[in-house]
Amino acid sequence: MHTQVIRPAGAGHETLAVLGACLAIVAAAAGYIGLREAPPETAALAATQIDARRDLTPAEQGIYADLRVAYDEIAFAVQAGEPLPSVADLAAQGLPPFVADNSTAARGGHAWRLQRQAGHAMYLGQTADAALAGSFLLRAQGAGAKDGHDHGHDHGKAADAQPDVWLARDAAARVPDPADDAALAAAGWRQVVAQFDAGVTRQNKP
Amino acid sequence: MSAFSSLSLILRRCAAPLAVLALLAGALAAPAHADEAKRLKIGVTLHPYYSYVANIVGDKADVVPLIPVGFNPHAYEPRAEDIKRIGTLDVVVLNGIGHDDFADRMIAASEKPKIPVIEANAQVPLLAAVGMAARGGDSGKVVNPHTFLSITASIAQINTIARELGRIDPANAQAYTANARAYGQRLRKLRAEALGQLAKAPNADLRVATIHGAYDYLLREFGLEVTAVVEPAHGIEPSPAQLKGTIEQLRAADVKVIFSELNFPSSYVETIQRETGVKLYALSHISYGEYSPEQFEKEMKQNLATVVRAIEEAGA
Repeated sequence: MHTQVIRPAGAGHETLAVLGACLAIVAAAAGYIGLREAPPETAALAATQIDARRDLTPAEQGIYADLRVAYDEIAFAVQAGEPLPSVADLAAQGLPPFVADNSTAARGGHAWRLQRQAGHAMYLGQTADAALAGSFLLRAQGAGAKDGHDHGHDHGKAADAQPDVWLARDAAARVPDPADDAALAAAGWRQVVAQFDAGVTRQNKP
Repeated sequence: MSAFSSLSLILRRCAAPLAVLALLAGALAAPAHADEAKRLKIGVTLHPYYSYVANIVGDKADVVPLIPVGFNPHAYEPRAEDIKRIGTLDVVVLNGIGHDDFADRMIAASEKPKIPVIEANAQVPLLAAVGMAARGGDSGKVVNPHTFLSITASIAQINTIARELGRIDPANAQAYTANARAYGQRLRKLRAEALGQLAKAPNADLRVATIHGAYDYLLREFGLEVTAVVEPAHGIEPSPAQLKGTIEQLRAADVKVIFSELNFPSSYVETIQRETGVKLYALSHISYGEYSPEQFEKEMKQNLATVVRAIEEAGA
């Protein structure tokens, strides 16, 4: 007698095949995305630098933003043939953070002075409250004022460069002489860097 | 010959010399017209940028808003006639960090896809977006685009715009720089006046919340940090569940002052005020109404006065 085994109706193997196909598609897509992953756009910072967006306290961010605008004004003055403005000059123009106002104490109560050494000029802001904000140092070379007399031979370009700002969280940090990059870093200062890597929301990035 | 036909004869005889005269007059007028054509036409996307550029260029160039009056820049979708207008411009000034992303698409679709653009924020140290605006990304990946709601960040942008316009239009570069400096000086005075009205420095511990992550740059100028941003979505009426979440968030953060927005639905604001007992102060986003050179100074003055009042009333 011939016996024929008839399996009950079912779609198990078909389900498996469909699942397998789905998995293959997902794996292929994941692999494709993984291969085409764009490298992170933020440039890596040197050990002697800190990022203005991620590493500063709110008070420091406020002061840093003000210093950059003050730097524009210093550059304008120097390009116009004027000598490097003193802290009193900058305060008289109402330029924060040099002018003492009601936000000064809330942002660390910095005492500012113009310091010159070996032909270099820099504005030093010593903090009164390192927990709120560290001490700041703005080196004025970029503004075309290496020795206070080197006026504006490079109009425009100087203002394009990022202001040379350094921060020390240690209230006891001193400014080395000469205050070059290596000496500042060794003395505990860090260069503040702002990155214009904005526009992750834009298709055509600048 | 009738009177009519003799008149038409005279007219016909005069027509030729008249046409020559008209041509000559046109030729003489042409240089003046060409001079006029050299005036830059500068496109802007948002109200504060209209004020910035109008103050920088004075009467030396024309400022053209890309978005017509009455559209909300948060929900604007480009229209054909607005895209067409880009073809008539020489340069476009952009916020470029998330508040006018529509402009990229408009420029790409316009008759001048290669039109020069000025990235106003190129020299502004940007703050990270917080809350929903950060879109779940890591800290700082998405930035807060509201640099135009602050004095310092505005002056930085004004200087950048003036510098870049000077490169495109060197004949007027000096005027642009001088105007930008004078405008910056006026803006700094607004800030100084506001801070001068404070009896004492604001307490750094004052906990502040905002109902739109737009005011971080402004509050930084007072040494204040935003503790919480509680906006469910910009300009959209929140659901009761979202409102409940917002109120709980405010209670948990122990905030003393909330900065709301002038155009926010008032019932929403009233409910928050009633439930939390924290006083709300409305700031202007400077994104509505007619475009005018004075708008930024006017509304910023109000904003600064509002922040001063909030700090004073919080006793901080």
